[in-house]
Amino acid sequence: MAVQFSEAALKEYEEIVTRYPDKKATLLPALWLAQREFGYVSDEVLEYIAQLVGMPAVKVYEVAEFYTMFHKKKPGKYHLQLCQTISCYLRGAEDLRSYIQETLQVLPGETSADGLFSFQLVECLGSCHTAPVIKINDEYYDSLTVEKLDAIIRHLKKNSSGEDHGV
Amino acid sequence: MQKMITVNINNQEYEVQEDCNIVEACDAHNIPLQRFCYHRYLPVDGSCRTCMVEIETPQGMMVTTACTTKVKPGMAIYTNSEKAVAAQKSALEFLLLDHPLDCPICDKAGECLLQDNYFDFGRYDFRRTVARYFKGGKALNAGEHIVLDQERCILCRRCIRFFDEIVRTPELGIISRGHESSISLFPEKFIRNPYSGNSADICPVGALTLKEFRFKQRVWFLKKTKSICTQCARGCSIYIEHNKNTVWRFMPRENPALNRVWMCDRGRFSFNKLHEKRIFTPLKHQEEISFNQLYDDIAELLKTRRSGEIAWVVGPFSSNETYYALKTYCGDNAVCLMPPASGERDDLLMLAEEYPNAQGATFFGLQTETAPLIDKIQKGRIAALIIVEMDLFNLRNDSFAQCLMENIHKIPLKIYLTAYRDETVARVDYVVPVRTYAETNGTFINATSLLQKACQALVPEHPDIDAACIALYTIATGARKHQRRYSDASEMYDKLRSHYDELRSFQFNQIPEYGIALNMPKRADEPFKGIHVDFNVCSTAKPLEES
Ligand code: SF4
Ligand code: SF4
Ligand code: FES
Ligand code: FES
Repeated sequence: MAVQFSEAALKEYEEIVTRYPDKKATLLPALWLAQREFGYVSDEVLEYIAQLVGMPAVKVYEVAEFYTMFHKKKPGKYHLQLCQTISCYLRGAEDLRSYIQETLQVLPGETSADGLFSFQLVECLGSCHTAPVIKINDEYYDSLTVEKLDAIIRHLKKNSSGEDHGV
Repeated sequence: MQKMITVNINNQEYEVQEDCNIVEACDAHNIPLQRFCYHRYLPVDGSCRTCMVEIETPQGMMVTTACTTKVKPGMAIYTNSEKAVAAQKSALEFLLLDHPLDCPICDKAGECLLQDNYFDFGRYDFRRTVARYFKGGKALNAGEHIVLDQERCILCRRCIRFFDEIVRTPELGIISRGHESSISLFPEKFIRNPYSGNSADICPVGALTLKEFRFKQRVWFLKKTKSICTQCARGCSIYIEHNKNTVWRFMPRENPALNRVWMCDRGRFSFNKLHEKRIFTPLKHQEEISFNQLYDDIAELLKTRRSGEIAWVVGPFSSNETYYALKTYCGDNAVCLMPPASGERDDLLMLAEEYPNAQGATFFGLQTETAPLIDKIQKGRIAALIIVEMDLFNLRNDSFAQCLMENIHKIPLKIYLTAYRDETVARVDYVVPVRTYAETNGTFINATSLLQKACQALVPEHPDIDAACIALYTIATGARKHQRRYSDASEMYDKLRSHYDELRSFQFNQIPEYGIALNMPKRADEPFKGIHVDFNVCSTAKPLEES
């Protein structure tokens, strides 16, 4: 099998195993670890995890497909997760969605042609009091307007032409 | 015998088995109740939510799924109360909501639970106001035998449970969520297990269909004949399903003590063989002759031989009636060759002996020791050899076949009774066409000593083609057609049964559906060895007609 955890990740996984009475219980943490390690969970990665956790590959596939937070395809450098649940919806999430779709030319589930931005609609991000919310990679951007989002996107585009990886 | 308790269903008292669930209780008394995910031979899942009933509990009336609820003494159950019916209809409505409704081109039509249940329990007013959702995933290649139509799937998980729990090769899963959920294989993988055909049987809709049956026949044209599979010594109970004298599929037939309601792919897809390489006309030195001439010639030729010079060779492929005819009419020079057991085997059903009736040959006391006959052939003391339903010249690594090839010139007369144009046909003097097991009645004894009957499904191509047992009788006795004692193989069975205590009380047409368990040593373990599946077959339930 081609893919494999780095030694550090493997050590981390072994520590996770000690927390549960049954190895199968490590499936979700193992998938998280894999997504962190490889950036996304390809079919190959799923088969590796299946072997690691000792489960049939199709059962691992079921779980990875159930949770939308696991990426089956390589995401963009910046992964935009727009909340589409009620509070954000009422506070203008639809406008943000149109803005993203038009300016970046991506539909939900797609990655922009330059590989910079991927776009996903998600359910409540638990930050309704600052709606509407977008999560970009692991950062929250609160109380957004189209103008604010536009500024953020410009900033990210500019950054990525240099070597700055911070969001 | 199971302990029985009394429950109250729709205000009437019924006796039911103590450990059954409400679906099973209803089935035992023919009380209609829809279901999809429940299957008699699979663990209960409770995933389709259609088998809704209302029950009385200490907390008051409760609507619940019948398949996940075990009966309790005195339990009051309503399948037809207002709430129960409303719940049944709503659950069903959801299943049909995004269904493609391509029944006209769906092979399942006619035996589809969605059709049947909707007919009985559905609501007919279409209430959808938002746009239809098309799931897609049509006619995907899911394996050697299986085609998958994801959008027809109602997510009952029967196929998943069958692969997970019975075959123990988890290959299918449900991916995504909500209305997008679909049945799926792992990407780029295919169903590979040797029992895959069963998934199409138990799929309540047309999501899993068989490549070998797709678009071949409408199921309502098929006639079902009770028979057995002859591809290995397990002898699974099957239906031969046929129309216009052609077999279109084999379907496993329920037999709780044998194959439950499963069969392997090797057996299932052997049905084509019944129509391949058939031989319908008698041959004399490879020239076609009439049946009259055939039997006249043979009678004439055998008349001049002493019985000690005539040898009979059969294999474990023939019916009990054929063995009985050999034993009764053909003298002492009859042997049964046992080809090596070289097929695939496992703990479920498949056995390595790829022939159906080695036990029958044992039961009728046929000689299996070939050395004396080999000796006689080598010394040129065999003047006539009659080979019965076994492709002897195609047997590899068999000492008898070897000897025969080397000494064939020493046997002046070779006669072959066969249904198929195989290698042996070209090496003999006379070929006597006989019927396949699907063209005659017959009985067989499987590896675990169960005697079952295989009933006649097809009419032979030519009226003079006989069952092997009758052809043998004719040859051995020199009887003319009008002198024959038997007009059908079942009469041969009815004759032989009188000699055996275990069979005496069963006429051919009274042989029980699940067979007769004979008290003789078994050649194999019971099926499903070490496979513990949590299912429960009520002794009071009537046989499963279809999934
Ligand atoms: S494919 Fe058929 S058996 Fe499998 S879950 Fe779907 S409807 Fe049920
Ligand atoms: S297990 Fe044997 S008897 Fe049963 S279906 Fe398969 S080949 Fe036929
Ligand atoms: S609704 Fe968007 S964060 Fe809760
Ligand atoms: S049959 Fe009871 S929930 Fe499916």
